[in-house]
Amino acid sequence: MSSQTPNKGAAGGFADMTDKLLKAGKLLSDIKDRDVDVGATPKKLVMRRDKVELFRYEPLTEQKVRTPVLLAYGLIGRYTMADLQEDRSLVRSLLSQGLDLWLIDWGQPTRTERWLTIDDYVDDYIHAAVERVCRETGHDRITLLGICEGGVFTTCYAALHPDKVKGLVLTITPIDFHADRDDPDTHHGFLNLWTRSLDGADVDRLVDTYGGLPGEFMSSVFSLMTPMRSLTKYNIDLIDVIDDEARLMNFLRMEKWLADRPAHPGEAAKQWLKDLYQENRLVNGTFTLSGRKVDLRAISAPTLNVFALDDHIIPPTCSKALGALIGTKDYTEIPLPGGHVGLFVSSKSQGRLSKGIAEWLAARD
Amino acid sequence: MAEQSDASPFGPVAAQWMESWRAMLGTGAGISESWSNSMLPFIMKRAAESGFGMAAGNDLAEAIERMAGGPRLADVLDFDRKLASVAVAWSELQSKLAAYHVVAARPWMRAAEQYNARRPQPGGAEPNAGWREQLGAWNQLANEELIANQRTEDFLVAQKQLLQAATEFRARQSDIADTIAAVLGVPTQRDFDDVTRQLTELRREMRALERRIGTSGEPPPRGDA
Repeated sequence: MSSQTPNKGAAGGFADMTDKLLKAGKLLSDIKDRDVDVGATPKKLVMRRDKVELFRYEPLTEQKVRTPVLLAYGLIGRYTMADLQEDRSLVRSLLSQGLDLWLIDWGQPTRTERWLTIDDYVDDYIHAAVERVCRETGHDRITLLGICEGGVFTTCYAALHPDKVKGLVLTITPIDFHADRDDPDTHHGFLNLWTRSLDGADVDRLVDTYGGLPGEFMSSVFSLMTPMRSLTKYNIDLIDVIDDEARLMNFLRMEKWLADRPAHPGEAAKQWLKDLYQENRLVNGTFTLSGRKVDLRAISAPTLNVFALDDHIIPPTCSKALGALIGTKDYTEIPLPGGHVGLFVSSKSQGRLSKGIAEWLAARD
Repeated sequence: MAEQSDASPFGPVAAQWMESWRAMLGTGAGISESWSNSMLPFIMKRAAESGFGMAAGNDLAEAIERMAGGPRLADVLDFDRKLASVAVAWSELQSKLAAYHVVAARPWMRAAEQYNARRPQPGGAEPNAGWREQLGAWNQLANEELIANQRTEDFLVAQKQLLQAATEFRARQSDIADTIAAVLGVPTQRDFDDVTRQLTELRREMRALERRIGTSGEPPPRGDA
């Protein structure tokens, strides 16, 4: 966007905007969906279990860390955030550092998955994936890399199956769901506050009616957290990038990731919102999966906890709480500048995140 | 949670009209509900099925005819009750939506007041900024006000009540869809949920059994584990 001179006036500015909007319309009509590729790093399907798929990424360089790493994203949004585009991809960066990287993709849950619980995700899907990775690679323990809700799943898995986990890497993962109260930044933690404002019965009714937590509903809650950004995205922000093809493609890839938001399976959503967000059971020691209490003190694997200092969705205080609760003495934190999504996709954070993870893993391989 | 606000965002006349409309719907729904909750529809249905005692004899043929023909008097009244309840839920949703908009509009007004107060006066020492700078200043101001508003009890209550009303409306709509599906002999949403529940439970049992007998260690065919 060319800068506006003060004396150009509102009329001149409006004319510029109109021209650019017309240009944007033409340009966008020429770009095809297939041109905006996300999650494009080559990988091979190894296992399918219901809608869940286990992939192994093709190596980009000689393997330097022997222990396989299984990446697990959450059920809100999709893993493609970690592999948005070639030059902004945690996946590619980790592969470039010589990791043997695997991915568990939850697919596109619909009402059919309404009855799946977090128990199923942790004790069935993740467990089956871990066993398969072990079998394929000859290891008896692997490293888990969890992102956001996926970090909670892997944390629970590490607590319930410590014999299968050699290392635990968490990124932007909430552990203490009430620790937003300790974060002084009022831009942080609206999701925590909003969830606590609901009754448990509201969550039940919502999930029972829709058969899950609709993806578009969660999108609207996220939009609320950055209200003006949401309002200016498709006018001012789009116009700002229209003259720059690389920035425009970044914008479109991000939009594609944001739009790819499947419904959160119903019963698992009730656990997520009620047991964890409202009742904070992970911290209270009352969160149970498959009839067993998830005891964070049972986590014996070395643990790396990476969080974003300006994360408005998962306040850093919610992630940092793990340090005081976990069983292992080999616990490391890496606080990084940036926000929830920016940690993975911003040009500033590229390299820092993957380098921190790879170095930590290599030291414990 | 704070108590629900009774103030109508549309003024007293609109509030009165909305209340009358809601009362009318409520009365209509109440009559239908009384009817539906009583034993009368059950007996009426049973009586209708036997031809009100006037046409005994060919029960099987009549049952087949009924299955093909769909609902009769009692079902129609029940459907009518469900339609009325959708209308009530819609009215409630509109009311909560309006109340939400009132709360959501406050920060815009506060931001506008502050923005106007901060703008350089014509003829003042400060030169006018370009429109982008002005827009940026406005965005920042509005963003702060909107975020601050979202954390207020009023906003959270209004949003919660809106969500409750929207969910209720959707649930009533689903009731209608299920009723129509049942009449047409098409599986309902409830049927689908029952099937998926059984499927999920069966999978769990099967996999628990697999683990118990140790077959999960066998490498399954690639791409189809």
